[in-house]
Amino acid sequence: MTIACSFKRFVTFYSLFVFAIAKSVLFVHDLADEDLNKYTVFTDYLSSENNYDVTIVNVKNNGVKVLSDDKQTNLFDELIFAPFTMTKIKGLTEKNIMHFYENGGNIMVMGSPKQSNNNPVRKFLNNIGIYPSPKNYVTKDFEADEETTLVLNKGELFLNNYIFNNNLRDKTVSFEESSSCLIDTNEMIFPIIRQSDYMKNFNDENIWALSNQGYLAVAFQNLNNNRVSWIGSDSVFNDDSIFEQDNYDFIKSVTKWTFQEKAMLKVLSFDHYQVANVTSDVNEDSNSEVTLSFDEEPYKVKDTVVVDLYVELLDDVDKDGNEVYNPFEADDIQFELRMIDPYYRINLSKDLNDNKRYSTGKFALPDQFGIFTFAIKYYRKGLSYIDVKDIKAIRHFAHSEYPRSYEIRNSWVYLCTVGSVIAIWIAFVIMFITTSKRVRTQTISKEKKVN
Amino acid sequence: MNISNNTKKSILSSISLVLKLAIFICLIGAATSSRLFSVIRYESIIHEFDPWFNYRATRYLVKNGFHKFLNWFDDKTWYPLGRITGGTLYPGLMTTSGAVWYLMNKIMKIQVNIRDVCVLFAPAFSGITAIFTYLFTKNCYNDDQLAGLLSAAFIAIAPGYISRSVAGSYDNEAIAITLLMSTFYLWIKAMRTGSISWACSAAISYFYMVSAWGGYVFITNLIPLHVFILLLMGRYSTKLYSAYSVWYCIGTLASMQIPFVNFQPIRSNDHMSSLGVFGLIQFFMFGDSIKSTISTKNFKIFLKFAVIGLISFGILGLFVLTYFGLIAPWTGRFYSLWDTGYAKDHIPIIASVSEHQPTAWPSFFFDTQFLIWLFPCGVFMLFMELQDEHIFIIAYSVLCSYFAGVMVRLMLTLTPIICVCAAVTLSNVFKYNLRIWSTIKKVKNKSDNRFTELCVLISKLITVLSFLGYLILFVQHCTWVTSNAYSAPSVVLLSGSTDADGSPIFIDDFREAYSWLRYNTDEDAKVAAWWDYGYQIGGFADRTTLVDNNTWNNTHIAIVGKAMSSSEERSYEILKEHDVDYVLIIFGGLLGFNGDDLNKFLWMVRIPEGIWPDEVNEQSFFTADGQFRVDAAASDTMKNCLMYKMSYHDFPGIMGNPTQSTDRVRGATIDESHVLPLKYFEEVFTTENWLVRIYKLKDLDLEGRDLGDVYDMDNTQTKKKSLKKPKLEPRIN
Amino acid sequence: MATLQDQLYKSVDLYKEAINANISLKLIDIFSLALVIIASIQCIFMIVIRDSYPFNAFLAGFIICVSQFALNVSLRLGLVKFGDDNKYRGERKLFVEYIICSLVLHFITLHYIN
Repeated sequence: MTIACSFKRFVTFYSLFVFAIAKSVLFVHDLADEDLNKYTVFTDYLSSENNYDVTIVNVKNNGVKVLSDDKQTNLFDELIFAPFTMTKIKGLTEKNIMHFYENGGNIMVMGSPKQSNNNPVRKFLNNIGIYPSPKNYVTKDFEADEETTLVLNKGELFLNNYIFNNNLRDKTVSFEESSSCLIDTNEMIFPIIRQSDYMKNFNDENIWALSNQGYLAVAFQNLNNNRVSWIGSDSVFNDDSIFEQDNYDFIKSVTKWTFQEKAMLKVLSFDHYQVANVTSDVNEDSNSEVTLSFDEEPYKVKDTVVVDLYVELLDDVDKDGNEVYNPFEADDIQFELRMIDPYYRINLSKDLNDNKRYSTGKFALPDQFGIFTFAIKYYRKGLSYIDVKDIKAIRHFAHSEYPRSYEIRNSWVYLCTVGSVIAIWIAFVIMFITTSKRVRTQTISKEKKVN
Repeated sequence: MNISNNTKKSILSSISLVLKLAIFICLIGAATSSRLFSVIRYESIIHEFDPWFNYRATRYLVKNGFHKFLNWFDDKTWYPLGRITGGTLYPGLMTTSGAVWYLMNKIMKIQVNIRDVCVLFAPAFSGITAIFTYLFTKNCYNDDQLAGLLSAAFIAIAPGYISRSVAGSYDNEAIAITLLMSTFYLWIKAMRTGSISWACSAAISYFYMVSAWGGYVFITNLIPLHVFILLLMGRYSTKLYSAYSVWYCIGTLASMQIPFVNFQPIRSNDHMSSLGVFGLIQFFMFGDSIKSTISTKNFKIFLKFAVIGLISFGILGLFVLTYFGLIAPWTGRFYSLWDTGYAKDHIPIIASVSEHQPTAWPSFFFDTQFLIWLFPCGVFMLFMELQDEHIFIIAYSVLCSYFAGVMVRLMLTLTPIICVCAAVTLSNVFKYNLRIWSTIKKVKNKSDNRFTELCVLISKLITVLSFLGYLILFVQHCTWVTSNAYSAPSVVLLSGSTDADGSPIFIDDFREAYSWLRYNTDEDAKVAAWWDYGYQIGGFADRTTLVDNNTWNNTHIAIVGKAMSSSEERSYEILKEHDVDYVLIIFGGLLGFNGDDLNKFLWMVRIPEGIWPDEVNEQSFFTADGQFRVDAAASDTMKNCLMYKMSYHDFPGIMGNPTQSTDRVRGATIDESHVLPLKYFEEVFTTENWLVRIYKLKDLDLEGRDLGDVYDMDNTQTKKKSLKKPKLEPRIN
Repeated sequence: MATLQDQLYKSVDLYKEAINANISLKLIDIFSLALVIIASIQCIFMIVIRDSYPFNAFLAGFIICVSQFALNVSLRLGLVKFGDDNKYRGERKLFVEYIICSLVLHFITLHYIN
């Protein structure tokens, strides 16, 4: 039973911070003190409401250290970057941020038109395919009265309900002085809010993003399920506007999502086994079904097997660090049986009695021997990835498992003929011996006469 | 007088029996000991490639029992297809050695390692071959014991046979030649006596042969050919009828019990000749019984109609059945027997095997020395007498001489008949010339033509002595060839030089690499290598391979070839698709080892080219003037392909000069600037002499980026990027 | 051609005489005839149902007939050759061989048809 590596890491990571006292969050900024004071609501939210261990570091003087010396372990669990106006930051390079991220940290980035062009955070974002607009490019809404205040109230602008739930299309978020970003085609980027058709990000000479090509907030999740989020404007975090409309709700949702506290699918087990019919010795009519795992009985072609996936969804982590799980509802989880090319794709259906269990139901293995991959790959934007697989050999029929001749009606004829040939032969031999005895007596008597 | 004569005779016969026994013991000793050079010089180790598979299969058999062995589904080869190994091999060799092992360990309670059984298997069987050759020759050639003994002696030490049966060469052929000779011996016996029990034992021996080697088709065609020629010569007899029809019926039915052979004996064209001859001989039998009752003239008319009808019916039937697909058409290997260019054009996989190349003429002499020119004399002598069984030898030698000329490996089947014919010649020479005493007597008798008699005596002496000299030379040649050419295990190499205290230096890179794989990689790691090394990786390193020496799936081999000859990015894709973790290549550039992957590289291009002509093109690997070069002049495709990059990765700079190195196989100078960096693979292991290099496929990038881009990003100095709007493809959400 | 026909008739007569004289030959011939009939029944059966599915079973059934036939003929030829001479030992040897070969054949067939 091999579960994909990513999942394992996720589990170990998770179990770590269940028992850890608090998650450590590093808020990195190069702001002046009065500007920093604008974030009190947000930092309070982090430290009191979520009980995080928040460290606030100003990089202006001393720089910052996020990795251990050998770059193998992170000194903090999560990172939050306020918009940088500096370009070079001591201890923080593009590569360091990448190391931090690949080591299992999550990163939240605030954007702003004031942000410098060549800072490492921007380079890091460019590296993963997110291109925030350069310094002094501002997004304006030509529908609104006040062009730099973006009131985002249309349902179609919100693109991901797992990150920010706007199912009812009734939420409104407002950004002031926002930047926008372009994104490349990487499937791991999940846009959260896009520009409306009347918005444009530009400076005096050039346009960066026009109408719906630009995004105001995007998220990214790598194969280890570590997350990055980028929000186009720092204004939503400010005390002045954080309580406007649904901004606070938005911030909380994105923070929770980024720090892996929601929309995490947890695979409890991935399992496949054979269902065999066993005719009991006592009563030949009663067929009972038994399940056999691969270790007990390796699969052969045409066997009936079942694939099960037990999964649940992490919806929230409360203040004390308790995880809140809910059953996960989906009808598009697909199981794939593959040997280079897929042989079967079967939609998993939910077990009515067990709300964690998804199952393919019984299906017959193909009439093809080989080494097959049993895999479930479930990549949905906003949810953590499920990628579990198990490679198992499906063997051919052994020579003793083909139907015997006497089980095939056609061959009864041939069996009879073989039987009759042998029977006739025996009769023939007996008759031949009895008749030839006479010959012998004759010959012996003849010999005697001669002598 | 009478009594003393009788006792004399009995004493003589017992003496000759003792002598014969002594000769046989000597022969077996010679046959076995001359094959032990490799064990003495190297160690008790399985050789080459195929034996490794046989050895692995035998271990499986010994461990899991016969039943499981027959149904063995091997998930460690041909990933991800797997191979029904139990159903696609000839189990004769493994079962025999398994039985020997069982007999020794379980019944005789002698603790023997299965490896030692396998290593010493071939030498032991070569002794048995010598005995059967003796019987065969004796039966074939007028019960001439001298010829028999000579042929046994020849086969025991002929290099042509030793090449496939030295200790450690645990291959199907090791047992197959023994069975070949025993089947032929029993067939001749059956044909001469007309006894159905001899025919039955010939059939059983044939069955054993079928279970051991694919070359059994040779017997399936040779015996019918023999019968057919006899029939054409009008030498039909009831003996022939009983011998052939019983052999054919029982042999065919028995051979179909082997899972790998299955229905071939009645379906494939290769086996049709024996069926045809079987029909023909039935007809002859019928005709013969009629002939005895009706007049000759009418019989002739009857015969004419019948023969024409029968032949036309047979040919028509063959065509119709082939057309409707009931009979499998001729196999590619069969075509390549007739047209040596066929394989190169149509089935590169067959042509790529060195064993399938036409034989170079010196190798005939190399493998059989002076027997090769005694061979035609022997055939000629048999022609002079032309008895039924002589025809068999003639047919055998004619057929086999042709085949041996086409394929190197069929030299093996030719060797026994060369030995037999040469023995016939020599025995005649000796028989005539060894009557020296009578000549001496004649000389003493002071007859009229005393001078002529003297001349005769001298010439006889000269002949005998010179032939004795030849024989001594032959023995020397055989020993020399065996020890120098055929005793190398090819897994361990012997370097020419010696170390300080004069002992030879071994080059053990293969085992070094395989044991690295065994101890440093995951148990289910998949290793991609060119198919030559598949069996060895399976046997030594116990890792899953994509392709191996059982070349049953051309496409799969082509996939590996394509991966090796494509650009790195493309190969990474192909290999990832097949879950490959490691790539293993052989590189002889540092050591000067000729058989490395770059020298086989053109096959890695040709084989996939046959399947994907659009993607792989042989011409693009040559320089503009059509040369295969690896130095500065190499074409861009060549320099960009995975095999080139892997072979020369980090190679320039290891020989003193920091930017250049010389490839000792191809005599080319490799400059640093020719070798492009590896972006998708990383080197994990290179052996002491750089003979084997192992690369690992890098993991997929966590952020979903292309590994080539990541490499470029990490290795280029980040200049101050001017913030330009990126050119992005439209995105669909 | 008339002579050919006559002679064919004559040979049939000769044959009848021969088998009437030697009861062993008669037995062998009857057995062989039975084999031919059984073999043709199988062939016809296979052609009629147009299905060669248990092909190994058919082959086993068919080949045992052919092989047994060949063995019979060998035996018969051997017997005719010895004739009514006093070569009883040869005859017995022949018959023992015949029995051994037949047993081998039957074993292989049964194994094949399983």
